[in-house]
Amino acid sequence: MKNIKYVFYPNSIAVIGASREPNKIGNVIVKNLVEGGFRGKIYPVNPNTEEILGLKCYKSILDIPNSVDCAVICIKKEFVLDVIQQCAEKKVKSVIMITSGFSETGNEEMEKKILNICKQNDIALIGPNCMGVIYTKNRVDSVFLPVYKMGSPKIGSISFISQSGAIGGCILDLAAYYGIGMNKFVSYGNGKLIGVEELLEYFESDNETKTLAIYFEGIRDGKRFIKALDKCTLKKPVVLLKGGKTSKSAKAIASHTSSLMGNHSSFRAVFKKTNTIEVDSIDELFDVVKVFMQPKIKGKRIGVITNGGGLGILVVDNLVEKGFELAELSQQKRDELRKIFPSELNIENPLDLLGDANTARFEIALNAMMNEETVDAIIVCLLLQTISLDATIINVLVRTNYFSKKPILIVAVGGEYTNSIVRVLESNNLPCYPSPERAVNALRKMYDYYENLNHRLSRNRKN
Amino acid sequence: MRILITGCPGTGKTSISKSLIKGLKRLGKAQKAQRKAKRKKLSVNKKDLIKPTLLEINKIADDFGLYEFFDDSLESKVVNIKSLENILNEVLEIEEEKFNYIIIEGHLGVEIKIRKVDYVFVLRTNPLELEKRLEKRGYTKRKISENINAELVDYFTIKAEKLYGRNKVFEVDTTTNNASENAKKILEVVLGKKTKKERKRISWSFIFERNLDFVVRHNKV
Repeated sequence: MKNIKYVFYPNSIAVIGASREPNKIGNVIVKNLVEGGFRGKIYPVNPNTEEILGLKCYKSILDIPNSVDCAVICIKKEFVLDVIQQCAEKKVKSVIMITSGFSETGNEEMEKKILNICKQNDIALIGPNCMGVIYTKNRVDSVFLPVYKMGSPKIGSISFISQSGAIGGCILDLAAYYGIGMNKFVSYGNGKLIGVEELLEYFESDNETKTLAIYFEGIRDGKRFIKALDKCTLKKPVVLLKGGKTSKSAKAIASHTSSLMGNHSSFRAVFKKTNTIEVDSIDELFDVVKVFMQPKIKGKRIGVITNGGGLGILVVDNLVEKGFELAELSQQKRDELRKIFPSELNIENPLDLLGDANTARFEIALNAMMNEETVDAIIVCLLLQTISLDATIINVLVRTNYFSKKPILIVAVGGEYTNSIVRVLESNNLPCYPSPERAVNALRKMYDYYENLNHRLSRNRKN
Repeated sequence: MRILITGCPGTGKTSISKSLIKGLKRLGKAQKAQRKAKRKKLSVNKKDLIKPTLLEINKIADDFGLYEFFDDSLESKVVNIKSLENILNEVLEIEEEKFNYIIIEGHLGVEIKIRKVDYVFVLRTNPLELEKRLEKRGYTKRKISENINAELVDYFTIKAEKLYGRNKVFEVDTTTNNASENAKKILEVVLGKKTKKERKRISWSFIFERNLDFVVRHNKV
């Protein structure tokens, strides 16, 4: 599947089924490409129109004078076979097929014909029945959700694979909302030619992707899936959410993306063996993906800073429950802090900066924990409701984060004011959590990943 | 001497750099005149005469075709960073055969590591004012917000300090936008009239508190 790269790095895209009607998928795709600023050539194809959004429209893909790297197909399924034949004739390198109504509705035969044409002509096929692809860096965007209803994520290093278009759309919108940087996104639908197996193989060697997140329901080739997952997790964390864990949802999946879902216990065993991070919800998926924006955690000793005693205690409870330890501060550090901090402040871990703590006090505490060798990660609880702590904490946290070699996680519980600050922090790569347990859970998953990775790497070295 | 002028788009890098070159040229001329007049006490060696030149990072990227693809605004062309770094450092070596004061200008100065830099000046403009300047340039909303967000969290200062070390980094408030005034401030540091102890940190963190709406608006895009 060497042509898979043309899906993300095309110099030219043809939109077959491009439309002038604003509420048609064929219109949204062209619009997203034009307004998103796609950096290559765009060729709308529609036999009944001269021009779409200022671009010359072609009667058929064969009329396009230059070569086409990627064709997005969003026409009625009756015409798909002809069009795919034309794509083969035109030597198109990749196809994203949005059109649905194939194996997921029992129409196996037509899908087989399409797959055969693609296989014979080395066409990398994403779909059918998919939402397509986004690559933020060169603004490839075939996702047919209109920009006014949904944010588009900024450039980053996290890539998402989603079998389902719906979950994919939610993930995109949430990533944009929280300011989480995305690299590539692909919704692969029925995925008979390129499914999660092939995509895992592709993303294993994609150096721009530092963390991979996956939503999937089923697989085609168990052996290949395990092998690909096993290799990929050696290079980068793979965070995975699986749909269809119960027998009821299996039926829905068959008519959704027509894949086999298998027994969930066996999947679970595979995830464990391959050091894949399994999550149980979209919330948890984001919780974990976010934590990997931070540097590697190297040990179990955690430092906690808070301006609200109760919040600190809940963090500590969760840390202990999840098998973490509280870092011991060195005598030297204690003495240093003792001289600066007010006498009623206990120099302990958790370091409770008291209700009247301001940004300056947080800065001192953060620097102390950052430079302390006994601290492997820092959890900062922000009680932004107090009168003395204000938004100026943002600058301090962002600066500390840039220079930090250990993970910093933020716990900020609150309403509108808190959340507006959280969004600024998150868009600056500081992972924030609305509760202590979610922060600690994410941190533990990160710890386990690196711990297992080290084991695997040292085992591989020995062999 | 290598002097880097960097900062967010719209903070006045181009005009200040030009002003700085003018100022340095004037000084160079004065030195020459003194040599001619043979006032021995004041005059400098021939090799120490101030010979300034300006290197625009964007222009080098342009000249060498280092852009991978283009964005909607000039400031965000995507550059092949590694090649730019190598080429710029080579160009500097060559320029140094003829010039002794090299001003290197561009926001990419914090994305590539320029060798042997003596001073880094990070220009800072209050984001409320910066927004107006970028709107005037016709930037897209997205581009404006990206830049405002970077300026709000001291992005260029932090990056500069990480790359070049805290001691070399000076901030200049260019909210008032008087290029020659601001260039004068930079010259004072470069010519050793102002010491490192006198520098002050610039922070817009008060905007987070007083204008949270502004911050949230730019975070949405």
